[in-house]
Amino acid sequence: MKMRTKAFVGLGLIVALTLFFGMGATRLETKNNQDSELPDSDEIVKTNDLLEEVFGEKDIIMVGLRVPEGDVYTPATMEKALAIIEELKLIDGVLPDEILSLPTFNNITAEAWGLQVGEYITKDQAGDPAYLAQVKAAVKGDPLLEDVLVSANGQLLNIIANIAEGYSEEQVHAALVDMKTRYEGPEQILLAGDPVQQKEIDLGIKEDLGLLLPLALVLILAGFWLCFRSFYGVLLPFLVVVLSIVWTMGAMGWLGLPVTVVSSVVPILMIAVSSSYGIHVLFKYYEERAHHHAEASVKNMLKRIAPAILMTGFTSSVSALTLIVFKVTSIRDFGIISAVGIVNIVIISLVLLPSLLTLFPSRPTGKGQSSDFLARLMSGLTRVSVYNKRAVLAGFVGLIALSVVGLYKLEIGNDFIKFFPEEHTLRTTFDTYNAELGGARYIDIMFDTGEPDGLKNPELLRQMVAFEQYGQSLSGVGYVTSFTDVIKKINQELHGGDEAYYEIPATSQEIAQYLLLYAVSGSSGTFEQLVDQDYQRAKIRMMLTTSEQNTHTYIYESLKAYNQEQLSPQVTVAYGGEVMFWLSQIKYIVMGKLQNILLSIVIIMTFCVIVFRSFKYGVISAIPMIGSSLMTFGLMGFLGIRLEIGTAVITAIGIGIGIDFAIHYLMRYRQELAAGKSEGMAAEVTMNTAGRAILYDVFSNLIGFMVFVFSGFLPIQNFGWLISFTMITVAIGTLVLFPALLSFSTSAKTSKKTAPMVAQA
Amino acid sequence: MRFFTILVILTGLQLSTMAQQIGREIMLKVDEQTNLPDEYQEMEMVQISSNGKKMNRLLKMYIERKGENRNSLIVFTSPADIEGSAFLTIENDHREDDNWLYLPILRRSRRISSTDITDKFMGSDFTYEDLQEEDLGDFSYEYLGEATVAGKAAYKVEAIAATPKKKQETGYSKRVIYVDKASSLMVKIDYYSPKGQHIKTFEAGDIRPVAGTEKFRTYAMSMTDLQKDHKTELHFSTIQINNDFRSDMFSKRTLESGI
Repeated sequence: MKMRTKAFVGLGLIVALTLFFGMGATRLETKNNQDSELPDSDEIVKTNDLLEEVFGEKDIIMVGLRVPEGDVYTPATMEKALAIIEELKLIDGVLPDEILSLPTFNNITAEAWGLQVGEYITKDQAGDPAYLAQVKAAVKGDPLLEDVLVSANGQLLNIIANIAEGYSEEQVHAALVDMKTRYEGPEQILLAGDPVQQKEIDLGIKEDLGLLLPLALVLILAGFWLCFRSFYGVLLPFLVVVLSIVWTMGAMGWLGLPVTVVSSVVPILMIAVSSSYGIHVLFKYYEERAHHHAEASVKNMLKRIAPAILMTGFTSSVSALTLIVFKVTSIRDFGIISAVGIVNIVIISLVLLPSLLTLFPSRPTGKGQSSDFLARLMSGLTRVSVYNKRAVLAGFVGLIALSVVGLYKLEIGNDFIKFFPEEHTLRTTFDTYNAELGGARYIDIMFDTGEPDGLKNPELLRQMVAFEQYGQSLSGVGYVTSFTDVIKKINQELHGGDEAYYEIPATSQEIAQYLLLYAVSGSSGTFEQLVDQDYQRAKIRMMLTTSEQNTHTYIYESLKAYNQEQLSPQVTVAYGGEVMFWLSQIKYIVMGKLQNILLSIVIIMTFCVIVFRSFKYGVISAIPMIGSSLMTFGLMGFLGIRLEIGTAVITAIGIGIGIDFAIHYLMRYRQELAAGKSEGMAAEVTMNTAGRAILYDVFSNLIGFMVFVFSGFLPIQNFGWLISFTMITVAIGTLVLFPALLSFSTSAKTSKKTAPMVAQA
Repeated sequence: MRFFTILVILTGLQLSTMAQQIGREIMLKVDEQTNLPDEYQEMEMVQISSNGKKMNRLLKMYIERKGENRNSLIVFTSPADIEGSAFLTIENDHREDDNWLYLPILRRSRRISSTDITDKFMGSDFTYEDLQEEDLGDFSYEYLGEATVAGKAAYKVEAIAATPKKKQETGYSKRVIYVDKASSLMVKIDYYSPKGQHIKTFEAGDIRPVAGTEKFRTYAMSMTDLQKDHKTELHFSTIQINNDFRSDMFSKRTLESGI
């Protein structure tokens, strides 16, 4: 086949694949439900499934009404609350009889004429200031109401609605936001709960992509211009960038991988990686074009660059693929799609660019790469490194030691609310709930008595109360609710409101008949979510006033210990809820991170040993990336940046890209040695060729990655800073450390074996 | 053309009026079958949650109709821990119902404020509204055609609250009622939320004559909450009509002394 025919075929292939992947991109979906993030076999996933099976699959919506001054016990605010409750009932999926709030609270009080049951504040009563004053006095000190449904200062009223799973996040969020705009003022309306959080993350992702993607594209265009200073030199690599984004997002669509907070960085990652591939290919072309005619330039370019591109493509994608050891779905998906993306980039760079350059050859630029500032810098760097090799090595070891100190400070754990910047509404809402009410996040606990009707057994109920009181005493727990509250309250009211009777009654008959009274007294919707149908299991909800994950772990561990030491053997306790998911997830992140680092280092070292057919070179190639990974973790430790979902993927990406530098460097160095150059000369030539390419690489990668710093999500901002840091350290590790290291190892040899060769030369 | 339009509108109006008339006639037959001076039932109430867990209660129910009002007395006989508990409701003409609950552990009855008709009855899937007698004056009934329910021919009627009071208090935007042709008993009802969503389904079967009478009753009923995947079944073991209860049957005294 002639070159031109091949070029046409190549171009046709690219166009066809672009159409194919373009279609895939239309199938992309955004997803942030953490339920599917963890393996089904996980203990917490299993107990959560059980909780959902027993008490229904439900999410919660929280609406807060906060008055700037005075309190919420005014007709204006209370009527507004009732109107909001009525509107909530009309939202698709909201269970109308499972709305918990002061007005809908099923209040059982003993009056002179009998028992007052049913909703606390009806429409008529909401407009009656005298009645509201009475309610205000009654709420004071009531453990079921104060700090739960109304803040102690009386300024914040809480409405919690259950929503059956399967609702449309879009619709619910839109309805809530619309409600907020209509009802806000003078009261502040706060929105929280699962659909709100998820939608805010979705919106954040969309906003991020809308801002970061164009920004990254503009920056990379500028970067290309700086490199090539020609229209063609900007257009060609830019095409590689655009197509690699389309292909990779399309592949995500076809593979059914959703866009998550983690994988939302994929397009920009593609920009960073593909730009350096494009630059490499084009540089080589112009290098050849200076001496050859158009077609020969393409041929030579391919011959010389293809092996390096294939090799670095392989190591980068394998390194990304090692993320599949994580048991967290979004990280695993990210690893898969990044690996696919890198393969795409390799194909596009090796097919599209040669095809286009064959069909539309570029003129030689005439711009050499010889003696300029960079050349002097590189040569200088080599000499400094080689002549001060002990100092360089000592410096490196010192830095590693320092990093290890930092590593000890490294904390794990994340909190999705900290994804958002401090001034974000969701974050301020959470802060308000944490400060003024018992919090906005919770642990759900299933207390299983092991037998039907077990919850009518006073002894077991007392154990449950003691367990709840223990939970309440732990710092970080806002309040605890369960159906024991209802039993205690009825007991008290049936004994003339005497506080001494706010306790579990003595007999199972009493408990059973109180439950009957409660059932007769009206809406039992709030009850269904607290007790199993056959009174075997109850749900305890512990609201948490902190987002600090270490505190969550402490609470969980304390409860588990209490459970083992204090509760009857027949009682089993299971933990679930959104907070538990994050706790479980972090366990996998730490474990996955360790496995992932070890695996990528082993694979890449093995690969290098094979490629270089040398154990020594294999080991040396891994040193900069190991050093850089340690330094990144050390820095995180010193800066207090935690190891969590976003930061966990950094080393995989860093190692994948970092190994490219080592391969480029060592290959060239060995070629130069093989060509008979002394190690000093070889190092210098390598620095001026491969080293220069590495600098361009770092430059283009930094342009791409720095864009993350402008993200709306803090973990992605951190990702931007840290991956840039990793890039720089790995480049320095390669460019400064390698000459020193290599001169050490070769000088040892030189003294024995190569001395005669030098003599011959 | 104008004539044609008017004709279409008139025909439409007439058809709709006819449908309303037929619907009402069907419901009148239902009323005739069910609306009797008194009734005694023994039943088992089974509540079944989505994971198949069950709660069973046995209860006896005495019902008396006086004019527009209905009095009822419910006595629980099982499980043992609530045995003897009883609930009395007396409907009044121009004021709220009187509710009294007797719990054996308290050894006396307590008056209870009345609840909303949209509240659930005993935590079951039936609301108080679902258990109320069909008051034909409160609804408009439109005949929608014929249908088959559990293999039997039935009429399909749509019921929508018609009076301002009913519109205010009902928990449903409409009900689609299936009336068994042979017995004139309601065998299926689809309940629609205020948003127009089908949220609950009532089903009734096991149609038999009440011993010693010509009236028929459904001896098995169920209500399914489609949103929560929760179900309540009622199995009637005994139904008696025209009992002519003693005069103090529906009183606090009977409630406390037991029957």
